[in-house]
Amino acid sequence: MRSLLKYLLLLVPCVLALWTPYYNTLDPRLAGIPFFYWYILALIPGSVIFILAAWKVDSQ
Amino acid sequence: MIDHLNWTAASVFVAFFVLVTVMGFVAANWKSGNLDQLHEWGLGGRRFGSWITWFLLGGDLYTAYTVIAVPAVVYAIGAYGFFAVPYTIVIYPFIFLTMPRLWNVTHKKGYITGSDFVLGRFGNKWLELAVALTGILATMPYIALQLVGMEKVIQAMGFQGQGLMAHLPLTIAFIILALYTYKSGLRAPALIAFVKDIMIYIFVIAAIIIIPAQLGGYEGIFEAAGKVFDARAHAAGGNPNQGLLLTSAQIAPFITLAIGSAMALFMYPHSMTGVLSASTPNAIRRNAASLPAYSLTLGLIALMGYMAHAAGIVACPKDGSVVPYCVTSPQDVVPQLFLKMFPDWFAGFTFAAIAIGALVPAAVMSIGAANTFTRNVWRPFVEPSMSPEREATLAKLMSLIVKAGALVVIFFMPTQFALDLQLLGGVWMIQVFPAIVFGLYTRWFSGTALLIGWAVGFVSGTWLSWGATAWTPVSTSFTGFGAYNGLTSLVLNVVVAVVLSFFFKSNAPDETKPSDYEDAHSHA
Repeated sequence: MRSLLKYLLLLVPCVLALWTPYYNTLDPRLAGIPFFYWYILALIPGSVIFILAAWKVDSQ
Repeated sequence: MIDHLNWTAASVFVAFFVLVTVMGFVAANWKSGNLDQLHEWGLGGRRFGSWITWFLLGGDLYTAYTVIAVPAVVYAIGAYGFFAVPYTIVIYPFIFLTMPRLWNVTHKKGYITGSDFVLGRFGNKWLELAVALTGILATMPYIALQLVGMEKVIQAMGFQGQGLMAHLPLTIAFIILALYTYKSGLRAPALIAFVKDIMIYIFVIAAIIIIPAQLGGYEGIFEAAGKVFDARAHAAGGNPNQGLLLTSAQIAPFITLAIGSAMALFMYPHSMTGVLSASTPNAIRRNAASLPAYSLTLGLIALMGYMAHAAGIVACPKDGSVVPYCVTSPQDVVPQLFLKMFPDWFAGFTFAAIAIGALVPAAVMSIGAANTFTRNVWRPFVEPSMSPEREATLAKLMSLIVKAGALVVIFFMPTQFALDLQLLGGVWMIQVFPAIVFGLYTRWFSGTALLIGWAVGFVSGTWLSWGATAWTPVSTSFTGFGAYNGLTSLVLNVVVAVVLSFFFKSNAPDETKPSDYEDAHSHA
């Protein structure tokens, strides 16, 4: 059960990064930056949170 | 030759180059070990903690060529060049999961390379040879491309030359690199990586703050880039294959390139060298959670392609008339952007960062290829009983030969040749994924089946990439939509390996046991 949760947590950032049709859009913009760009850049720190969570689950 | 040299930029450049040269030689005495042993010379004695591994892997994976090529693609066609960002996002969950297992088994069994592991696991020396040769073949053009990156910044400083003289600075730089790598092994790039990475962070932070401030903010930058793409689409009769967003035909190639590149990256010998030199499996896990800082940097570097449009950097006119800060190839975009937007001394600093950014991966790549050749080609097939001293001597010699080979490619072949080989290198490298990564979890596959699967993937991937006019990474054969050839051929590879594993039951010994893959209790 716990290892399933670990795999799921690691899978989430991959799916979010590869679901391209859903972020291939200009709006909403953030500080003049189109969605496509700020989404994918914001996902980088986002992915770290999931990796750390997976580590936490794994080491308990 | 030096009539047009930018003296300020060149002086800063040379000063930093001298600094890292001294560091490269001093590194031999850092965390000192017996450099006559292969695991000391070629893996730094597996003594690199989390911080050193972070700088080394960051310096190793995010190369000078990346700094030049990614913004070049973004400048030329826009959003498509950003596939590098999802690529570097999906890679870290994968590393977190698999690389500690690889570290554990290599540490327990004294393996130095991925092919060592494949031999121990599957007991098939032909599979071992296939994995080793794939790695060496894919690494050579990768080193050559680092030289391309270095040469771009040397040219941007105004160095000109005819014939072989044009390559003089590059040759000098490479001979120095070869000498300290020979002497210090992996310790040299590990120490230099500190300087390189800090310099890259400085120039990227300066660029993302100062350039937008001068060009009307990010809004202005995207607007300017959008206008350039619109104008080009208009001129081409309105069928754009470029723009601020992906066209519908680009989406599938974008996704498959990101997945396939991520799967291939950690199969390269230089990536494995970086991982296996870590001191503990937790150092690798910490890096999986902290290396994304480099991906963020890469994403910001990619944006420099758009900043160049906003800064008015255009293609040089074909008639030869002089336009300041124009580019003859998109790969000149980053150097020209810094020359235009920053004082000369800072441009020199940036160019030094990029050039040192070529030295670190070139050194690690040559060490990874040399380790692999010594352990997995020479030892099993030519000289089975090698002493550890003899292994280290041979690997040092190989690291020189590999670098000389890369120089020869740059001297005598068109740059396009190195680019094509690098592209094919990724398609080839991914074919060892089943043997290594599946092998970390199961011994169900037979070595023979994996070897035939590898051959099918290798041949089909190469065949798919062969175009009428040029080698292409993406094709629509087999899939019906544009897909990365590495991924398409890997699917064939895996299908063949699975089906044949039912027929070829392998009785070859497996020298590893399940607990070899788990963390030792002291690390848990």
